[in-house]
Amino acid sequence: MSIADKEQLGGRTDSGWPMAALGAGDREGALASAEQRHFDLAERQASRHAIARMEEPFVFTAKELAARRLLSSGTANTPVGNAFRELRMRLMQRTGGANTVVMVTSVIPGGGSSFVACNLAAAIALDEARTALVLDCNIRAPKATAFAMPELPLTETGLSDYLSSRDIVEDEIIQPTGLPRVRLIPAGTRRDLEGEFFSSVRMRQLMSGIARRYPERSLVLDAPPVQSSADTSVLAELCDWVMLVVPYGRVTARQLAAAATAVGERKLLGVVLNRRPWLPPVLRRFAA
Amino acid sequence: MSGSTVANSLEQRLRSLLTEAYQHRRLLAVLFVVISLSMSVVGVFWPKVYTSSVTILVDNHNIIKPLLQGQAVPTGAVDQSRVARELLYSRSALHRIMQATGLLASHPTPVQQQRIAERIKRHTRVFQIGDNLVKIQYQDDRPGRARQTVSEFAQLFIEASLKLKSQESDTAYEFIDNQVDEYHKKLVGAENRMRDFRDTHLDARPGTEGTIGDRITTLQDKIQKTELELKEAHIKEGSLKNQLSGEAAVTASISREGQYQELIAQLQGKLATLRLSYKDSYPDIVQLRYQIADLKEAVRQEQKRRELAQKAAEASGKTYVDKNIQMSPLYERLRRELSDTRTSIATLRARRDETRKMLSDEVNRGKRVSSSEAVMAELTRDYHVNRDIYQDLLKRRENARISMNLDRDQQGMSLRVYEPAFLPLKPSGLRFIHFAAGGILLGLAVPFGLLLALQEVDPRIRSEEAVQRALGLPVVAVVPDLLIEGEVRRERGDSRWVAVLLFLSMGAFVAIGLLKMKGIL
Repeated sequence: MSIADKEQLGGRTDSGWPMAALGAGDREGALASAEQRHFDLAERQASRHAIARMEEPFVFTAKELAARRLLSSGTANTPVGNAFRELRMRLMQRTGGANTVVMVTSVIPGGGSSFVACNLAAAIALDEARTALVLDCNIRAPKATAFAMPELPLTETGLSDYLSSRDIVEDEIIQPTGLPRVRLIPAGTRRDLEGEFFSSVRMRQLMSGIARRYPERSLVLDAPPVQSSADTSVLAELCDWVMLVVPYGRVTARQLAAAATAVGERKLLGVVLNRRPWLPPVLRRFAA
Repeated sequence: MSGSTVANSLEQRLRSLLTEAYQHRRLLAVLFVVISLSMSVVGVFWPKVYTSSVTILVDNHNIIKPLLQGQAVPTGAVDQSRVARELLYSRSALHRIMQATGLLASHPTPVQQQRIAERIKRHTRVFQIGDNLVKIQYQDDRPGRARQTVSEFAQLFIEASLKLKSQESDTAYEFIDNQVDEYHKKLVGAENRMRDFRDTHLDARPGTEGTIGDRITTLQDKIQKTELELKEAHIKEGSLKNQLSGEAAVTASISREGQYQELIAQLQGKLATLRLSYKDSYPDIVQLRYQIADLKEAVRQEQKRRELAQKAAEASGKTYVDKNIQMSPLYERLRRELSDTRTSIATLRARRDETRKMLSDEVNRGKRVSSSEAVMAELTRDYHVNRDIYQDLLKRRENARISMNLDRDQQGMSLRVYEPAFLPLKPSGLRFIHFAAGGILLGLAVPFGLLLALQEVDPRIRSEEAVQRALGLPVVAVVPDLLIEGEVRRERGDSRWVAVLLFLSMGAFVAIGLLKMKGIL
């Protein structure tokens, strides 16, 4: 909880970033409207400073990150690192470098959407001028939380609690990860939420609120697999882009086509072919 | 365009094969080792097969043949290999082989014997090489037995085919001989029938019919001639009759009148002469006048009488002949002639009738002769046919006798071993090296083939090309499996394990090969 407060403080110290007139953003609402159109370099500079001032209560070492299958600056040049950097680049190309909300969903359960979401966030945050926030929307089986923060107890207040209770403020649910500039909103303690919560005003409020907390912040949603949940299509509505994760050798073209239809072709950024089998470096260049 | 697509697809398939193979390397390695080692073990225990063969020259073209061209028929051997197979696969032949090669030494039961015989049959091959070489080949797990079996087979074949040929010509001779006897009987029968027929039908001699024809012609000529003569005689008779009757009488009568008239004319001449010198009262003249008147009266009388006689004769239907005439020598002669003519007519009639009878006799005889000649012709034909066949058969029998003698002296077909049976020194068929090489190839081909087939069948997506091909969706990234330290170590460990396994199996190969070469296995 204290971490969130500190982040909030850090956020508060940052000057002039226009905030929505809702929720937590209220407090800084007065500043917003006049300077909204003037997003100049100086302000950007300022936001960078703000990001630099983000408090990191703990930072994992490269070894620890590697053990969690998370990218770090040290592993950025490995094949996996390159793949995620390329993914980030593609995303940035599409958005023109602006902040974005991207949803990552797997075609089938166990496809590795949490892995892709967390590492995409990590890759985005490799740039010191950017932050990323992972939103674990897989309330029934919160994978991203367990993936990025295995130490975090599942009883921790999270998204589901926020959506079902008006008493919880967004600052309470934002958790730091061991990755610098990457935050996580865990799934929460409630497991019985229905799809309507995602289409609720409160959800929208949360998304716009946290998107504006920092400039240069990207939001990565880890959505439940397309096949097993109707929430995914609802969530897709809230996002700018959707990425479909296809685990190697487990999905048929028919399943993929069904998933693409479910999320809607319009927002579909593309397919991420995940978990291509590991090959020793000798064989890698023949297979590539 | 499509070519490049195919190339891409092939390249992609190979890449994905490599990836999959690496993933399943342990399974592949185990499959390889199991397949190749088991093949080489099979190779070690695969029974060695020794093949021996013998070639037999079947010569039908010997020196006797041209000498006896057309006289003897050499018994031809068309498909020697078929003959050989039939001979060699016979029960007795197989039994002899088994006895000779010591397969019956352990006194097998009939069922076992049957099985052994079947095995021998299965391992025996008979080929025909060219026109007159027969090759018999036999495979066995013991080289000595292979050679023995083959040479026994060769001997059997030679003996049996010579026997067969000799039997064949013997049978042919016997058959022809029987035929000769039969036709002889038939011929004798035909001769007897002809003789009997001749005895009962004497007319039935050759040429009889011609003679009868001649005779009929002669008789017909004779009848014609006789009838002509008869007609002549009739005409003569008619004319003689006419002369003797009616008109003849008139002539005669007129002749008497004529005598009177003549006399009258003489008297009148005399009267005229007298009247020249005398007066009518002259007595002579008167007398003369009376005489003339008397004569004239006589003429009248005569005429009257003749008419009366004629009338009477006509009334009674007779020819009137004056007595005076009858007395005349001419009449006499006519009558004689008539009588002669009548006699001749009767004679001619008798002759004609006789000749006619003879003609009809002759015609009847002709009919009889022609029917018996038809029968005779048939008998003769039978006889001729039988005689021809008999003569032909006689000739053939002699030919067959020569053929038989040829075969008996083994001059007709010579069979000799062209290439004798040999003792096989090296086993034929599949050897250890084949199994080892085949095992390695199979050990590679089977797992990779299975993998490929699986990939072909499996519709699941394994490459970005597949995504693009299937849906046209962009692939934004291909993320390799991120391994943590322990996992990488495990992968490396697996690879090492595979390498060790392959190394060991190679070692096993080499060991088996060496043992095999040394002859220990």
